[in-house]
Amino acid sequence: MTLFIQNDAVGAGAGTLQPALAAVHLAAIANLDTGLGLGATTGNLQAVTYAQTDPGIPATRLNTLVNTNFGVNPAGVDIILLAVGGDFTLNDGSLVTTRGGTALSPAGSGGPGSTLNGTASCLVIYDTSDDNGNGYCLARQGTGGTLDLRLPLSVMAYHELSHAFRIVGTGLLALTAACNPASPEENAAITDENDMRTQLATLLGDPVVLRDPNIHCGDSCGGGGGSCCIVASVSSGSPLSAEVAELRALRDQFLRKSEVGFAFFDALHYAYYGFSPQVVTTMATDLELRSTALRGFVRPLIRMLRLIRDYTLDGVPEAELGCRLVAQAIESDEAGASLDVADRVAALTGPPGVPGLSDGESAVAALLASKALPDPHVRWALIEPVVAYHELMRSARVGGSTPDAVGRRLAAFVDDWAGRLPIDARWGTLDLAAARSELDVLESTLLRGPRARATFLARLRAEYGAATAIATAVDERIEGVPT
Amino acid sequence: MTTTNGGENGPRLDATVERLERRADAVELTIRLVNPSQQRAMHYISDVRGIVFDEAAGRFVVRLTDEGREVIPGAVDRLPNFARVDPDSTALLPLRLPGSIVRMRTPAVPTAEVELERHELGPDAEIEVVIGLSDTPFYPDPREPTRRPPSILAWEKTQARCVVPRRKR
Repeated sequence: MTLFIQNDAVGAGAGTLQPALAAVHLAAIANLDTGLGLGATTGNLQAVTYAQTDPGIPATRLNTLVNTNFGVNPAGVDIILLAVGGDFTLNDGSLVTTRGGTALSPAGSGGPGSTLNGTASCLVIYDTSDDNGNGYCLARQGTGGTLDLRLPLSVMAYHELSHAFRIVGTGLLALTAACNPASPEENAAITDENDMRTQLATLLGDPVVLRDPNIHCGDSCGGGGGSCCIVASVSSGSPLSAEVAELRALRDQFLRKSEVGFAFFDALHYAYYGFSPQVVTTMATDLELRSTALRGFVRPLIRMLRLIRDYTLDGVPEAELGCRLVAQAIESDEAGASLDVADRVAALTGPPGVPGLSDGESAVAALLASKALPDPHVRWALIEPVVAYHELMRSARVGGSTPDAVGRRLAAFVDDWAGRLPIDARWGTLDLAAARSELDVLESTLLRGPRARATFLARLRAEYGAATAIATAVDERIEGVPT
Repeated sequence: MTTTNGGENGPRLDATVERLERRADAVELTIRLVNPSQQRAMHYISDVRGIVFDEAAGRFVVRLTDEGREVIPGAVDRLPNFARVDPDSTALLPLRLPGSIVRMRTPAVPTAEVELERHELGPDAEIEVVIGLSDTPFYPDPREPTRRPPSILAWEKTQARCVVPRRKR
């Protein structure tokens, strides 16, 4: 046995090391082969055992790593696997999130990374935070370098174990700092990585998409791609559900293509993942809460964003908007129960202490009150549209409002809401051309109405007028100078 | 709180700390970058590449530069993000730092076990921000990579620096 998982560590391991995840990723590498197991624990090291029955390439490589004595460390601990959090830095200061993972040669060996390694073992370190939830995007084969291929954590672990295989065995190939073209060592690891991608896709029934072995460059996915909408995924039953797909599409249609839109979603993502995993944990054992999440939040959010898109992007008139919303009130599959759902949403997002909530709902209400509602991005993007939707639906159902009146109220909400778009610090970094371009994008989408436009420009000027480009770009708009 | 960089006529950005907010698990910094050049835009690395803790000095060095970054095998080679400041203009650069970092001890004699240490970016620590910059944009160098230094380090002509001082006792 030469492969070990670091369970904890002397010092500050708790909360940073994720040994259970490491075991899960090894199981994926073994293609769920039941011959994989965990052996004796020595100190904080958990031995990995493997009696291989799966004939696949990754499983065979894992078998070699587990059952060969490479003789790197006299204690027999040749490779240690560390699944770490996003706050981990190597001793050259580099954040693990800028590397995804790494394999360090044993201390004193003179190999790459040996001066960063405090042990006599080869260390395989990888980021289980997935770049703090943003994901890593890599060059997809056949695209000439388009960085849109996600890096599943088990694939990342396998990539690093490929390096480790050569560190403890045949010797590393040439390694360079440039990522395009990839160095021979990275080319070899990516070639191995593609074996794991093929195995994983086959296991999941997905099409096989490979990484370009000649390009080692990567980037943060910035909160996009497949890592979307965890509450919608769980409440609707699948990350591939129609609800999740539509939320992702709406997100990308609206803002994410622009610089500040990207920054907005980065901030939203950061805040959202500060509470949503806990919501999902609660939902796992509370079916009523799952239903409330789907019918009270996810579907209303989708419907409201659709209406906002219709109004701001497609220029649908107010009366038609009202007709569409009233039609939803009549046709909605939850029509009978929706008032109750609306009450629950109001209780979850309103002042604390409302009676009649289940334990799970009370827990979520507390989470929303402490983490979601105080965050301007979450409140603006996720809470306010849902609350407005329920109010509009209520007026359409029981208030006797005409479609025209409902449409006017909806348009008034959107104009007010759009002008209050949270202003991210990314604005301050823009040069003049970029600032103009960003404002052009916003004014052709969310800020079509004069009230929304005026409100937003005044806020931007007040917040970031110290940045020259912002002051200039806003002033020329306020003063009406053509750009 | 202010330092500047660059030679008399070389590329230069003047960096100062505009805003600092400490949150439960993060430190949010805004850096004001002033380009004094009347002619040239300045291009700089706009995301954190590394955080080094100097235990003896009780100082964190937040690196927006690849200086000191070792070449090691890894799953992802993330290029930095870049931004620019127009001539005679000011930009505000937001940085979100973790509330603490965890790193491995590397004693003179290798240990049997991994030893980690956590360092909090608290008010008692000084934080220095180092930003790599140039007066030209970064373009990846398509030439054969083994014959030249890492291209981002070659691109970087100088650095801007500013310091968040430790809390006075």
